[in-house]
Amino acid sequence: MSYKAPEELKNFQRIALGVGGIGTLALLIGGLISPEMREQALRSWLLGFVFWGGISIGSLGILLLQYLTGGAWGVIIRRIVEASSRTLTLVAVMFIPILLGASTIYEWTHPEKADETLKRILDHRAPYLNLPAWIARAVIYFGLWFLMVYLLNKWSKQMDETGDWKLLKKASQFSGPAMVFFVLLVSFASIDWVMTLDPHFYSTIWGFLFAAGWGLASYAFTIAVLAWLSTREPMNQVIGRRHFHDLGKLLLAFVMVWAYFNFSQFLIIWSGNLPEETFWYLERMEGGWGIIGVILIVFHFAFPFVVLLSRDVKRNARWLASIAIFIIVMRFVDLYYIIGPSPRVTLHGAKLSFSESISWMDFVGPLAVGGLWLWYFFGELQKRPLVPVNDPFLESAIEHGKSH
Amino acid sequence: MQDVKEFREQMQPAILEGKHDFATVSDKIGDITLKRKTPFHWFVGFAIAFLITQVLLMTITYLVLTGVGIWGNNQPVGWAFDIINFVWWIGIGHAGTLISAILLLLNQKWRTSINRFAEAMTLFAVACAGLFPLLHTGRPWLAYWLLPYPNTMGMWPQFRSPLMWDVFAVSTYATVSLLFWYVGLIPDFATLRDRAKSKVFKIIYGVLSWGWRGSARHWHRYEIAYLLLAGLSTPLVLSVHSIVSFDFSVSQLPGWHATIFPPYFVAGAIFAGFAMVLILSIPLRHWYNLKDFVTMTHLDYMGKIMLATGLIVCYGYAMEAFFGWYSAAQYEYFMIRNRIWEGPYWWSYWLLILCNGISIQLLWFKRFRQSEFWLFTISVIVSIGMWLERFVIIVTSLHRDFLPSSWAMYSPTIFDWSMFIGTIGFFFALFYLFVRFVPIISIFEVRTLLPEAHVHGHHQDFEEIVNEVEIEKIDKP
Repeated sequence: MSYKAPEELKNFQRIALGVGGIGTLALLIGGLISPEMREQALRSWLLGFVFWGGISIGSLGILLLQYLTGGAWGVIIRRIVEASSRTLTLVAVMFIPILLGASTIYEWTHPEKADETLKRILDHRAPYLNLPAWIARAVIYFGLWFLMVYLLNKWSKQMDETGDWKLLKKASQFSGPAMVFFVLLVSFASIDWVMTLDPHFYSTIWGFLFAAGWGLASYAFTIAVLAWLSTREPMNQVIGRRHFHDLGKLLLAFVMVWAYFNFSQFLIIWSGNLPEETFWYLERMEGGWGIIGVILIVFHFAFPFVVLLSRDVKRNARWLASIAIFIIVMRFVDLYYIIGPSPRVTLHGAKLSFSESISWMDFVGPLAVGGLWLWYFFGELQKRPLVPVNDPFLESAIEHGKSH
Repeated sequence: MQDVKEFREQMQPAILEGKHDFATVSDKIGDITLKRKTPFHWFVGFAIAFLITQVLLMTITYLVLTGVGIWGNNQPVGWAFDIINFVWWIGIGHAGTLISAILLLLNQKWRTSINRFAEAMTLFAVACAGLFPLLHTGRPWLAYWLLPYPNTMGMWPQFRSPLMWDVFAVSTYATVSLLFWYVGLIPDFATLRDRAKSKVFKIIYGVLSWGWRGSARHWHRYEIAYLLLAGLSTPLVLSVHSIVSFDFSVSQLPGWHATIFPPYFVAGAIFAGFAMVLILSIPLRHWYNLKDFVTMTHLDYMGKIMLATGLIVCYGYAMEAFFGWYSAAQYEYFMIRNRIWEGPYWWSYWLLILCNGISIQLLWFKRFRQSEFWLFTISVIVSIGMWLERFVIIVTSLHRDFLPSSWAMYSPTIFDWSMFIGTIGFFFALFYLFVRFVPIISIFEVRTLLPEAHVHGHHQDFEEIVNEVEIEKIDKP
């Protein structure tokens, strides 16, 4: 069997490219209107970048994870996460607007305009939080992620061609130390790109929040893609209910881990009630932001949690994919909740109220980035067989899915 | 090129060695309790542990007669050995629960030959842990005041305090762990009952096995109960130590108030727990000739888990240090400088990094994971390291109060030490008794690892078995 991707993906690619192109154009035009709009356009682009870039980076994490743990689920999803991880090239390109516009969206780039308190904080952090160092770190993050993506994809391709199983061992051995670096890179990247949007805030669990959030998004995305593929040739020959059951269990675990980290951060900051941290939640508990907070508790955690407890849901590809897509939407809401209320540079660090801060661009931004991202992803997905054809565990992995 | 089968075996090595069938498994494990002469080293080991337990009893007696003033706790170090030891012991217990519950749900077959004694370890560790807060109340006979019950004193516990949550978390943990362990033991007690020669043992094991006959209905109920208990225990692995971490992190004290605390504490607990499982399993497999069941593969896996959780703990240290500086908050920054190099306890921090950070790096290499000597040594070092971690967190954060006029040093008294060492003796005394009277490896679960147990040609997980029994029940009413 050739395990070639379905032809329909080409249509998807065209649609995605159209949406991405129009969205990007809209943001560009919108951004030219005024300095406020420029800041908004870049923030929306950042939102899209953190969301979709997170799926690329998170997929690399899942690729490492499945090499480390082994198991049928990893063999089955490997080609999808590999394709997602290869979109990192595009993600790096999409980082350029943020790089160029850093001083438009990050308040810490203007220490001269800061008030006395913030000035003191920024002076203290200056060795870390300055633009050249920030750029240098971004280069390091992307460089090391690239290296991991490149090597793992290279070995996987070689195994397809030569059938040399030892490459699997090589990939597994590489994944251990790589995972250590990966988590550190994710932590500092999420601090640099997202946490510093609010120059006052800090939280030691931040890196874990993003490792879990990006992991969850990419895992849910992978399940959705796999469920779609399982309705077509050739993957309908490969995937069984048991695979979805296993994937569903891990999805449930991811949802719980996300909730656990978030609850930990909230409870500790709320109980401590220290002014240097608690403002972050106070802003997000007022008015419209408070409603979004409640929505996150109910629909990012409680609802998927309860639904995923069911064995029938996990074993049904359509239902599992629906809940996975629902979770992906909630990931967007969560990132919006984190990024949205942060202070604006054009207002000299003041914050907008909920109604003022809602902008059409916050929806167009993720669509624009997403369109381009999906176009690239579907292209990558077609380049290789949909399963690692020479993996020594492929046969038993397929067999595993067929058992009850 | 390598044979594909050979390669698969290399990637997923066997977890049962030697030639075994149903009978030899029962013999080999059951005979330790029933037939074999109690070895001499058992008496020596038990005697030493029992003697140290007496030190604990004497300390407790003196403590209750005199008061907690015999400890080194002072102002501002109001918490010291008592909570360090409490957290240390309770953390150790977590590996048992992880092995028994989470690895069961993850369908990890290798857990079957280590879960029994790991769970016993959990119970004994929780017993040791519970002593410390209980005795720190000063009047342990009034400890029931901690529970919310209607009383004439107009007292009601403070539900906003994580110390209160601890009462519930730890007591739930102890109860569920005991139930889980005991339910797992029932079929094995029945095996012992059937094999015992002496009438007394027949009766004792008979009572303990609750009339288990091994009928299909028994197994059906049993497996549902076991799966449910596993489900109940799983959140406990996370919740108990998260709540323990809240004891510190919900406060405002620099060095305690950090959002990373819950996951970092949980990882540390599992880390310390696996170190203790290794400390126990390496001698056990030698003394009782259990190398077929507790194989090098098991030790290797445990070494890997220790490495993974140890690295998470190190991540916690790194984040604490980074944000201590990054926060630009006066007290935070002072605390981290004081802890790492400016304060009088700097040595404890670096000792901790040496034990928990440096030593585990050896576990990256298969050579060390395959060596009992190294695994044992690293486990001992990690146990010391995890104790030091709590010392660093608790004492170095407390001894420099917000006002320099309130600063003080802490040093433990002889009674702090005798109490701590006493609990170690108590732990091992209980463990020796367990080894002597209870099957240390789950007989019936190891039987399921045998090839003849796989009528379906593949490994089944518990859920499948439950399903199948259900289907059979419907088919043949």
